[in-house]
Amino acid sequence: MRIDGLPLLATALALVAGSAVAVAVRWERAGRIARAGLISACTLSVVATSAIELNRLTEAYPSWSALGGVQEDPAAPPPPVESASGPGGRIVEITVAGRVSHMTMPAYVYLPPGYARSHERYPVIEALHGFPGSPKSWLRRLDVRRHLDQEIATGRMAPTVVVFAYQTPDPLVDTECTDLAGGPKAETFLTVDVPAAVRAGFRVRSDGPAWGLAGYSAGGFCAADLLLRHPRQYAAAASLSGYASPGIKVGDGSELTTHNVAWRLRHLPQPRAGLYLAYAADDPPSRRDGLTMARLARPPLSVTTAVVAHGGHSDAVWQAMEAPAFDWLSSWLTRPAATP
Amino acid sequence: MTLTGLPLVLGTCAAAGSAGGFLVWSWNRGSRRRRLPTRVLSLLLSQTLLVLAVGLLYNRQEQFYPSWQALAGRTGTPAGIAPASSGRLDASFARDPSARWQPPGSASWQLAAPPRVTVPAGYATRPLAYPVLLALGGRPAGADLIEVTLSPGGRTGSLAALPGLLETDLRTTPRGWVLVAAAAQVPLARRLVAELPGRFAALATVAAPAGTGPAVPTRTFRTWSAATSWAVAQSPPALAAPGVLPTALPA
Repeated sequence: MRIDGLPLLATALALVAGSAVAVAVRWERAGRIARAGLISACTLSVVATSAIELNRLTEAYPSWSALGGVQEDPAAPPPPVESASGPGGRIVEITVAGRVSHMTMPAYVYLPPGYARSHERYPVIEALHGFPGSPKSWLRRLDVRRHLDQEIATGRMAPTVVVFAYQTPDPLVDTECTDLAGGPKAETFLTVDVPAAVRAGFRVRSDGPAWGLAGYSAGGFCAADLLLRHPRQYAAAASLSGYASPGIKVGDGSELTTHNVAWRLRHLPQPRAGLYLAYAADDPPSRRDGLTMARLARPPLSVTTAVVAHGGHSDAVWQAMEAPAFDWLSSWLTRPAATP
Repeated sequence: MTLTGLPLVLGTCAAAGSAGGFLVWSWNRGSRRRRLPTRVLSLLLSQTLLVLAVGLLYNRQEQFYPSWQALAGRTGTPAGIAPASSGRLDASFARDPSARWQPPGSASWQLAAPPRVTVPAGYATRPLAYPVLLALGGRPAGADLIEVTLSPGGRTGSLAALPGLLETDLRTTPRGWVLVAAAAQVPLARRLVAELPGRFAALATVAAPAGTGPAVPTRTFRTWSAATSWAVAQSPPALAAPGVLPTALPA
């Protein structure tokens, strides 16, 4: 039974109902300890059901092993391809053994239609999830494979390899894709280890102009921050409902300076790159930060803005944004080519 | 009643409290036959309203779903498709992929020969926007982009007006153009890159280093063919009109 599947939720709801019936029926005949047990069961079932539904919404723990904190074995063979049916692209799971960051995490890679038959090297987009969340949010909540297949099939997007990587080793630790002082080195993982694993495992272009970033919510901040911090490595970034600051303490004060997009735009030279800032008009924090970043941007940094009228900070908004964002990113990245 | 307004939050909290109060009040009242369903239903109702109240309070604080419309997943903004661009001379080049191109004012460029423009195969049938390879003193590459071959002379001045004119006449991308320059044309190519920031993605030179200064990736090659191959690989793909959302700021 999947941790984010409907059967588990239905079972949990049945347990809520069952525990309510048990309390009602057995109350008179139960002693003090039994009554305490009944009330605990009743409470726990409600808390567990709420947690299961919250996890379904965020995909923070996409599997039972993630909940149990089981580390992936980098030497283990990759699991089977997740979705290979149909004429579109397919998603494969890899394990990124973080030799530099010391984070070893699974990642998911979208291979565009025609990848297996082609000899070309493809441009790459690193897609970053929000917090709480996981790469599975892109795959399950945002239905990203369908969007990518559709944009590529219509010629609005070039065939591109898209990598969905974790931005934290612990679903309860928000890294905002930074190297936390004394904590996980997520920035190193995403900018050194993940690219190295993708270059080693797939036919992709290795040059910076062929690499882009995309992310929603916290991942949107990540995309903008990593673009400004690593402009030689990435040509463009799409920030969907992202922020101008990480909203966490990095541990060295850099959340106010070098890990703060608004600070960087105000105080540092801006790179020759493209930045796509999308937000919902009724999502005040990301609207405010999106407009701030857009107003601070100066050439050679080029900014494109996109606004969804309603939807707040939700999956529906990111679903509306993702296809235009991928189209825009593709126009900024170099083409699939035979060159290394 | 709004989803994040106080009336709904307070109303739900009050309903949860009332349901809890009714649960306690009714716990031992009535016959056993009536008591059991009352207990079960009021307990489930209390739990549901309590979870709902917590959810509404959290949503009011974080504004994940600021409206009922948002909760229903209606964004009110379907992505549109940008209008397909068209060039003034599309029809001419559909008939002849190497049609003559002599835009107004081109005489002032003082080229040794008229510019030669070649559109890729399929230009007429595929409504895509193409990047441009600008060849200064060489020959076409035959790649999937629009190629403009120029033969600058000794008195050739600024070519900064050329991209704008070409954009009007053919379906070109607004950026991602690439330059290939023969040794003698490297200064002209560098000037063009400097005059049009953001337009060019790469500069390839043949048999002469580009020197420092161009704000684009630059490489030097021995042969024209190697230079054009590399330059083409630095350009974006030809793409159909993209999906777009309304913008917040003027472009």
